[in-house]
Amino acid sequence: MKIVKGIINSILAFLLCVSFVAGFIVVLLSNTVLNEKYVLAQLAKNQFYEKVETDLKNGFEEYQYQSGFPETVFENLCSREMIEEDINHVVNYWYQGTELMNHSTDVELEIKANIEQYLRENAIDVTEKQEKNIQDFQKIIVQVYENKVGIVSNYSKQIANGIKQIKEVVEIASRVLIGAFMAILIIMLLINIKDFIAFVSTLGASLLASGILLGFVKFVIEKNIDIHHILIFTQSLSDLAKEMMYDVLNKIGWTGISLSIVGIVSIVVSNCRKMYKKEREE
Amino acid sequence: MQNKYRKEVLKATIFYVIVAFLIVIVICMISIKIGKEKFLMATDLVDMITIDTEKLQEEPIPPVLENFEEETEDENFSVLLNPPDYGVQYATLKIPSIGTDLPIYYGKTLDLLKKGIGHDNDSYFPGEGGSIVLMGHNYGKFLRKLPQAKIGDEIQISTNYGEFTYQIYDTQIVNEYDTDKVPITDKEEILMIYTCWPINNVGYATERYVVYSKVM
Repeated sequence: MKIVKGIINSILAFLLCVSFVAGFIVVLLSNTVLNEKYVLAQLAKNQFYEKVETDLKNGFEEYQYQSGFPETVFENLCSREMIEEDINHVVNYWYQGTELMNHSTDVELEIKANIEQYLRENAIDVTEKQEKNIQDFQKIIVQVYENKVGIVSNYSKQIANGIKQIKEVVEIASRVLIGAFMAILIIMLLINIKDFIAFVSTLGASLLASGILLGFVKFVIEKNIDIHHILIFTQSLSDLAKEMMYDVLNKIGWTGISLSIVGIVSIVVSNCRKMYKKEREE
Repeated sequence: MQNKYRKEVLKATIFYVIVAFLIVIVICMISIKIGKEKFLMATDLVDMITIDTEKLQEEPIPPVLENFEEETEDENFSVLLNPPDYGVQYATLKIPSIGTDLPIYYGKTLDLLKKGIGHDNDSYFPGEGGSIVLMGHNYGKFLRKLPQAKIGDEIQISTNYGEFTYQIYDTQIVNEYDTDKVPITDKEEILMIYTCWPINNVGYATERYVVYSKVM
């Protein structure tokens, strides 16, 4: 009977560990990469807006040289606040499906006004062809702005759809896993109702296994993925992705260590308590 | 008596720790069985967007121009072994008639064009026998004077694997999307250098000034 109970306890500990680790990963995802507030906080923490502003300046510079216009036409084209607002709008759109608002029109009007002022001040008469080239130049500058702040409708739509689908799956998965975790815990408690110490020891073993497993997951990911050298589109976006990955991995690592400690302590304390109880009985 | 209890506590603790490790082993084995291929696919995908910039800074192996004799058509062709890494300067461009002397970088990103001449990485290297496409900005020290180069002028490319001299035989103004005017071919070594046109442009430059030259 004792052996059967032991086998059942081990199986339950195994299932508890699986549901715990899977549940933890699901909860971690919904609280990090799938959480709008977390992403916005990471953007601010990693100075993403400042980096995009620098990217924008470099992007404008590329077209400035061939355009024949001086730097002054790019003055006050977009402020840090505008960039921040537009990036936040994109993030809102991804996570909540809100309307994708942006300052592209402001940028277009500003560059137009700056060019007109430059032409007026320098008494430059433009030909019909040059007029067309100027319009193309304005369009290109707006495109540079939209690309750098991430207002590229096709990508944004795909990302928003992707996030929506993943969120739905994650929500269902988290409910199932939490339900399974609770059910296994209750069954385990019922089986060990007369021996609470055995329940705590089994739970400890399960937590210890979960901790080791999370540590192992972190190790395998770090070993196989060269996070430090990831490059996605721009340097600012790559830096953000790296920081978020490191943050998620750190959370996995620390949770693994904490669970291992709690597991070991539970096993040791429950067994000490068992022996102490036996000693008292004798 | 106390020792006996301590031993039992220790034994029970070790038992539960072993159980924990066994659980981990079983889960790992199941995960490997089920998800190994998917995991490898995912790591391969991540590898594709992973660029080790520190590795690029290591001392590169010098390129070597290797000549092969094609057995079927009885023709010679050359291949550049150990080609330069993307973004690396591998040559200099000289057009003595207009006083141009600029570094050539392998690649065509806007960052590289800020530093010198870009080499379209879809085109061939000097000496390989195919068309070579180079480009540069039309302002300041770059290719502002390119339209002043005349048919018959010499263009020199000095690489770390050899010197190559070309002679201009044609110049054309083409639309930016007219890629047929700068064809990539392996039939003949044609050097094509282009810059934005017109030089004193106002607005977005939709045309390119192309200089065509052949090996002398």
